[in-house]
Amino acid sequence: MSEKKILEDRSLLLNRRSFLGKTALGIGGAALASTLGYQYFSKNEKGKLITTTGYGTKGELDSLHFPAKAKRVIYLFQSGGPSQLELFDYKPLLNLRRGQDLPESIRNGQRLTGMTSNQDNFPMVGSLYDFKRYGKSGAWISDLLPYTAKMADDICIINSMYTEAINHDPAVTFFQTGSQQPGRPSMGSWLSYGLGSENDNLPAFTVLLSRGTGRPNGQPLYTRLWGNGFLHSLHQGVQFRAAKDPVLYLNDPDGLSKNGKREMLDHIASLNDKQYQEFGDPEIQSRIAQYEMAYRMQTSVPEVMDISKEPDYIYKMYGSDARKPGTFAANCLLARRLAEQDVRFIQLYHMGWDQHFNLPSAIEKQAKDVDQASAALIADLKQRGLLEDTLVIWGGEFGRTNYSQGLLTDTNYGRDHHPRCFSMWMAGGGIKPGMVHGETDEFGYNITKDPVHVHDFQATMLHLLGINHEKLTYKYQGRRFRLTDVEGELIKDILA
Amino acid sequence: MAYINMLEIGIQIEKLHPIFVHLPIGTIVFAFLLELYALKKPSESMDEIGKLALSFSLVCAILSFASGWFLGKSGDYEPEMLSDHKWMAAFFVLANFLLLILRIGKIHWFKKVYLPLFGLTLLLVGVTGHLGGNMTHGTEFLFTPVQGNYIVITDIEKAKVYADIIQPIFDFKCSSCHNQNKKKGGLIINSQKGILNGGDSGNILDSFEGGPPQLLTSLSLPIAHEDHMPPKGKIQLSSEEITLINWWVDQGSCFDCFPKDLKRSKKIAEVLIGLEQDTTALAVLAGEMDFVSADKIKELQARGIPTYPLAKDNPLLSVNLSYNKKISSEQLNLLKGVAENVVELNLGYSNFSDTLSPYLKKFKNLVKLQLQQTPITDETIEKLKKHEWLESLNAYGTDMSTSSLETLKKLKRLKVLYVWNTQISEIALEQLAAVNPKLNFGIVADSVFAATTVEGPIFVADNNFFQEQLKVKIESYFEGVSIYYTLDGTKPDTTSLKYREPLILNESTQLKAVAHKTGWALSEITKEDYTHVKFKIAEVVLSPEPHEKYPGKGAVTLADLKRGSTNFVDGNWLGYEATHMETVLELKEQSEISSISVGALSAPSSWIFFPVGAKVWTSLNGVHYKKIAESSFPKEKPSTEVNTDFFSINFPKTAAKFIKVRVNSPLTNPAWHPNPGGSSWMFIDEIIVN
Repeated sequence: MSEKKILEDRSLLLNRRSFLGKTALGIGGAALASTLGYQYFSKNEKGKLITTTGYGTKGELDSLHFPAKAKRVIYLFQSGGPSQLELFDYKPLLNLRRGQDLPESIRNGQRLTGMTSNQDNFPMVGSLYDFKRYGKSGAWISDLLPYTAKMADDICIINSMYTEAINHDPAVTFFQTGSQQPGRPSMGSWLSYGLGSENDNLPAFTVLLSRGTGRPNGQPLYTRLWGNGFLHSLHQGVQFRAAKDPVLYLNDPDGLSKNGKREMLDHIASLNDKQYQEFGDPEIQSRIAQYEMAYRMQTSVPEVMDISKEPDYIYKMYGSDARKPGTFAANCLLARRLAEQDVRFIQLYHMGWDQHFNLPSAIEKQAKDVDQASAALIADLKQRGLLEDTLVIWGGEFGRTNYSQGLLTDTNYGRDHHPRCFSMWMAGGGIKPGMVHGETDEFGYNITKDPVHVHDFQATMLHLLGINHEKLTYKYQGRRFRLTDVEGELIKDILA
Repeated sequence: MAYINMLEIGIQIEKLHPIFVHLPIGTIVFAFLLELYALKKPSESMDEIGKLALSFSLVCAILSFASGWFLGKSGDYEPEMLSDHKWMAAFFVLANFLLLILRIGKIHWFKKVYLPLFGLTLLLVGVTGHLGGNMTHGTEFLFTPVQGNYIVITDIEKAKVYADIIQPIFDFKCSSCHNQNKKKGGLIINSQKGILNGGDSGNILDSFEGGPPQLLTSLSLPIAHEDHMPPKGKIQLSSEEITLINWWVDQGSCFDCFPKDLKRSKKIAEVLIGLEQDTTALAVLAGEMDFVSADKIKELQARGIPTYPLAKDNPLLSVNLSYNKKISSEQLNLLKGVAENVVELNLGYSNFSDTLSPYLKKFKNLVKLQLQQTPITDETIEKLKKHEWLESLNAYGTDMSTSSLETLKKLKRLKVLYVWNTQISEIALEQLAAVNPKLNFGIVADSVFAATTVEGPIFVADNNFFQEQLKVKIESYFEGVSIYYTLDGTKPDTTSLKYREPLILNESTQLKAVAHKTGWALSEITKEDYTHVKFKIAEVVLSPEPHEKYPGKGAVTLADLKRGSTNFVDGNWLGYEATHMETVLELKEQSEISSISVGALSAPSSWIFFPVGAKVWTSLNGVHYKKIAESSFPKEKPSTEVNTDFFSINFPKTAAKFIKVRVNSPLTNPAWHPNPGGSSWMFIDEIIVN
């Protein structure tokens, strides 16, 4: 499909080019563009006709498989594996049985990480933080998340997520790309490839990072998590940094005039075009389009990143942390601004949830980092009417064990990685609000109702965006790949 | 062993029937083609090949017949059809045999009979194959694309549970193998009678051997299980369909009931509603509208009007002109021809205004309209009073006011109306809600974020140490913030000193401050120690030297009055692994000293801990030292945070030129650490003498 399409596009492009040659620029650029479809041609400031590829705006899918409930996604990725037992999955039995060894009948041979496999016993431990019921559904939410609790009627909590991976790298990679091994395209890249962009001036897939205060020196992330894999490099996630240059290498060097830059790009584009006509490598077109996108982003990025003009009442919602560039709160505010501009996939990562020891003190800080801003994002989107077509996802790569890693004391314990069950929440864009999906046993170790696999989650996300997850594929090395690999069932119960 | 294998083959032979049957068909057709060829170009070898093909066909035909014989005995097939199939097959074998005899014998009337007989043989094989196919796939397989009756349910309460809900599932997913002609397992499932008769192992609706009924068991088994139904490879039942069948059987498998006669859980009720015909605006409009040509859509896109079909095979369109500051009547005119197909129109943040609003009348099928942050007023809203399909209207940040109330009341299907930051009054909204109780206004209560605190004040100073005096500025991120501070370590509040201009410090001070903003909660306290350093240190000698990886800037690091950050590789820290530190400080001139403070770092996740104690000796000549103080520091509490702190030892005033300080490391990680007993680190950045 995709190869054929590339060839078709190429022949179209060549036709246009020959047509252009014949008419010798007799028609105005705008009129030309209008008869020829996508913006393969546009005029620069000086009125000179330049070529830009249509890849920046047009997706692989000619049309959606079914009407979309969500037009864009904000994924608040909680990196490190937040403990579901301290946040959403209330297990009073663990407090009753505090310190007792986890029965083998529950663990049932579940593999352990190298960090607890040499532990002599597995003393169960319940949450040090209390839970209360919130919203019409009576969802149990921890005292650590007071703001999220107030938005309980707008979110759908899933307590029955499970994954196959047990360590961070494979688990995060699995969530993002559908495979534990690196090399496949990230979710956002799949969407950029499938749906294209509705905004010509911003990338379809943007990434914002923040470090948590719970474990400030936790695992770093790596750019391949938002990489394009085998898709065109045009589809990779673009990281917006909290620094003077939000996007690296975007600004012109000192002393280069805007006109000089434009002329340089035109010359490079014509050289690249020559190369393309000779070899027909679509990656050359990607490159031309990227130069053009970067040029437009020189204006659009500083504009969207400038949150200083947001009124104070907005900061009152997100919390004053949002004033500090690079915090989760600031990134949430940016996420809303990007969503307003129709950026397709806005990926946030908040690091620091990997609390192997001293969990109680660490998770308290970590929860404080994200609670108010996450709730504010929902509220802010809701007031602006954006929540109805924006899917917001909150969750990490796996959960944490119901037994303590390291020494269990009255006020202190740790938890190891646990892939068999964990919690996430979703809101907006076609998700049924105010509900809890799935259950775990009273030990909080195994799922007892409505298990949701990572591929199910991915299939559901694509469904909400109007895509049949089995039909968005890319042929590479002789095989058709998709985000959900060969699995994935729609979670029908959580659809509005 | 060989015996057992034979036995197994004996049992399996009937299952080979579907493989064997295709061989004689192919071979006999091929033999016929050879024959035609031989007529044109007769040759010795063609004759031989012809014989061979006929012989092979005969062998295959006999094998098919034999395996089919056993398969027929299973009783899964309708006897009449089976009998026809069997007889036709027998005739075919016979005809094939005769052909071979004729071919080999070359009797003199050979040519007259041979080809007609061949034609008859082909006919026989065709009929036999067709009858076999009918038994396998059902008689309608060849001519009707989908089996079963598609029943449109408009009102679920009036639908019959069995006839309108359950039987269609059986028809679509089960009856191709369980029908009158092909009774797999003896079961016919396309009629009430068949279901009640059950299959070979009895009733399928009642409890089976103490367990659940067979019907439910076979649906719920894992797909890889031999008894799972439908078998692997066939179209499976959806989870809703399984839920419905379970519900029907659990409730007594009633054949004449309506949904209200049976107990319905919340989940069942939801699934049942899902069976009703889709009457949502999008579904109805999609059924009514004509398609817009792909060229037209491309043209609109090329003219700067992003227009997208809602989905494949869907005539409805979505138009997104948000952020477009140049929307003109020309542009909107372009949309005229397709306006009725447009169900989603996004004009948010654009220049769309009352002057352009008459165009909205053409878009009479709008389901979702976004006008947020545009210069429109009630005049635009008024143009919407005939938009009967409108479900979502976004007017946040516009001048829409209470005057729009009457128009909005007319929009019966409206589900969401975004009114945030508009002029519309609370009372108007209440009136609207009374007319349309399901209407949502997308409002979030102010109380949700009432407890937000202001960010604590920020202190700006050159250094935390000073020798003469220090200027400290206090700032805040927000406008309209008042800052209150204390200098004596007490807790600041709104009655404390109010900050107006930079502070000048002359002595060691602990500065604390809070920020206050009307309508917000008071900020957390910002706290900082500013230390007055009396004595300059001339020279520092270290023993032992710090670890080669963390040498800081050498010994002088301890006296450079520069604090290390929480990053232990910033060059301001001296790192020691599992060893105590000893240093000799030489003061510029002999002085009376009374305290020593050691700056240290704790970063438990990096195996770095605070020192546990220190000893101090003094000397006037650098040769003879006298111990003057020893102290142990408070035990470190379990934590994962990175912290810096000062540890002080006070003693009576002593004259000194040289000071020897020994800082004791905990040497190993504490018991609460995930790696208890491992070699720990100690990081020191500064030693202050006062």
